Amino acid sequence: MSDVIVGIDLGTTQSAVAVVDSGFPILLADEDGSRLTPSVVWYGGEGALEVGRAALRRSGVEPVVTSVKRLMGRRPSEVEGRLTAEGKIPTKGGDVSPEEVSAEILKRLKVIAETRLETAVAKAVITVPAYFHDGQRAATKRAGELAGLEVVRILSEPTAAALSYGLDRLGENSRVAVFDLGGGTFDVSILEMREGVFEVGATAGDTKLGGDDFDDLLAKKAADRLSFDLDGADGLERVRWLDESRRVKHALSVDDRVIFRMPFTGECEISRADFDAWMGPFLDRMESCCRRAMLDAGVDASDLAAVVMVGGSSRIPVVKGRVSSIFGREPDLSQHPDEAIARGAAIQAGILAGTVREVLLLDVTPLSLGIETMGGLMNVLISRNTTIPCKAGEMFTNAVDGQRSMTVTVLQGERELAADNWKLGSFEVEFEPDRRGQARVGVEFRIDADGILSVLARDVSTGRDTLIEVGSAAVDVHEAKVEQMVSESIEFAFEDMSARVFEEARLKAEELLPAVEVALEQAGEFLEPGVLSEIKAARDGVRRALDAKQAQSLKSAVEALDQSTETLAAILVERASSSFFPVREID
Amino acid sequence: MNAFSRLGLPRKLVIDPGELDRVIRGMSKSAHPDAGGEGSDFEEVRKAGEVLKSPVGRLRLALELAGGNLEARGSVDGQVMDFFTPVAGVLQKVDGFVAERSASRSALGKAVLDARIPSLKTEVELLIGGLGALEASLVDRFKQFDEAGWEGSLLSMAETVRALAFVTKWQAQLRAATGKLFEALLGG
Repeated sequence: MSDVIVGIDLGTTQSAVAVVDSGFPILLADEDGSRLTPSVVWYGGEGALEVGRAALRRSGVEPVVTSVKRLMGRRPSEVEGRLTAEGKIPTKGGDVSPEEVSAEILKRLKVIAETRLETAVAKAVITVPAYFHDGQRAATKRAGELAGLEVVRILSEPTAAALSYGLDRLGENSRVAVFDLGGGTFDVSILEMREGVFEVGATAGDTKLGGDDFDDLLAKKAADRLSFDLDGADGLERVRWLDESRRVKHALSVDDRVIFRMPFTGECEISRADFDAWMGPFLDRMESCCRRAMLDAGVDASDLAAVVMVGGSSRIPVVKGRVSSIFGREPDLSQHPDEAIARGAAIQAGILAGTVREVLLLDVTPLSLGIETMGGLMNVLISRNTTIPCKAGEMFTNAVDGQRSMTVTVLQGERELAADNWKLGSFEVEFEPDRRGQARVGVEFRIDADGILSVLARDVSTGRDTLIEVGSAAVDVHEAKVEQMVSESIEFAFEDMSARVFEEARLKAEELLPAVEVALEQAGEFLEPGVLSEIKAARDGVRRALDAKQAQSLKSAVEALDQSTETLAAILVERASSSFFPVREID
Repeated sequence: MNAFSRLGLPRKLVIDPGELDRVIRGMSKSAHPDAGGEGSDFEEVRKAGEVLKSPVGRLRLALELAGGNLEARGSVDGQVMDFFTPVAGVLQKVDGFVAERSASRSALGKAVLDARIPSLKTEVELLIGGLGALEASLVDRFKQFDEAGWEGSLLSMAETVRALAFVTKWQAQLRAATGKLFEALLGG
């Protein structure tokens, strides 16, 4: 068995495998000469299975599994009907887990590598979005193992791209930002490259933001124009709409106007200006992440030597434009958007194999790690952007005489309330029976170089260490179901109660009415006359509905006022934002 | 763990930050598991680096190494205590703002509240600036401690640790407050 370690970019829409050859990372092509493998798997029943391009060809004709990355390490309640209550994906070949589907893609990449390298491949570095939490990283690692690969490192994608960018610039000492917008996920990282050490200062991102969302959006907008009920469409029909959306999206990166064509339904023109406007909310989310990463890293845009853009969706002109305005410079497009991450994974594989010696990577944990306190708050033990590997200790003691154990819940996230964060799992701390406050157990939380948590408990009196299994909540079916049931029941209960509806609307109206006056005074002059009169009409409508004391009409009047004041609110927020984000002029 | 000896640095309070970064980077590079090091070595290097990078961490360690006693309840410089009321006041204001904003039910209501952000941010930044200047003047004493010898400066060192501890804590709290204002804007 050879000691070769391959680098794998396991992407939402496509994947790639690479190795370092004579100090230089290269992508490995399949028998058709293609270096990118679609992340698509087809299950035909009775064991029939196809992966990659062969599976993609069936898309729109037969059901295929796509974008499985967005399901990795997720609970059914998080992904709106894509997973069964047991956390599986239904296929003709039976229910399969997201890990199993990813494993099929990885097996295919393993075969490509073995064919090209003419040797067995047993080890791999696999990339994940920087903003993946522990559960998503662990699920990716399990997928690798299912594919017969020892996963020697889980590597963050923007960091991988930075390795690819920095390998030919080892002599330079500089800070760069990597902006990685892929098919399903978005990350931004700020790194410092100095004397061959790549040190990540901060990372931010959104694991539910990428090219898939833009396709969904285009399909929805086109369906509106063609008066087609997309929500009522069956699975295969939806796939055809999404395929056409993808084609139009790609074409709009080149042309100003593209015809959206659906056979038997109709066609409509979509302009780049339409698309750019629709992208606004997504661009705002990306901008927030960029701002936060810079704030966390303690850098200003002017401190950066380059902003490296990678990921397929970085080809979209309006995305490039927003990146220029956030960072006040033209982005660096020197890296191949679809290949840089696999190249970087191969470089990290080379570092681990000892074939690349002059480089070292210091990455960070993207999310704060903590435990739930008595009051339901999150107590942070390891804050986000701490260099990994790292550890933190916490002492637990019995609260009552003879207490034998306590449950500790581990969380990841940035919110103050425990319930708002991602619940990683929980474990039991066992105590020797003793008087209250006497039994003590020290617990050590370690985050390894893969960004994955392990927990060790040390009994202070015996000095004995035990590795604690943190109960994975990834397929916490019961909990997910209960949550769903509870939220549904509450919604229905309130829907029926017009008293409740009136009360909610009244509170909102009483807040909005004075807010409208203040806001108009501060920014009314910047509004178009039409918008201004619309706001005034909506305001008077709310006043009348308040007097009439009728629940439904007040509710809709408040909604109308809410909508008509959107622009006004945006002007005020923009003004407040300028204190954080100085407006920069760029050519 | 003695962070000075862990990083192979002389026992001096006055450290050139660039030099410290260079040493931490060099040792991180050889101690990292990917370069054949032990994970625990790497963590030690990072921890030692954190201690020495922070003025209060460095001084506290020096005091301990010189056999001094921190006397946590000892007196605190009047200049430092002058900041107590304004810091507490602005932190309370920011928390109040965040609570009020999150209770707000409409985008316009939030937007109207957001008009307060710039002035709150200025207040926070003024205090951070003031504390920064105070910290710099406290750190200026490090040179005297090095020259006079730590053993002969224990009382003054202990007093400076207490002062720096307050300054550092408040700076962190004020930075967190800036973060809260920022998150409020992003939270939409």
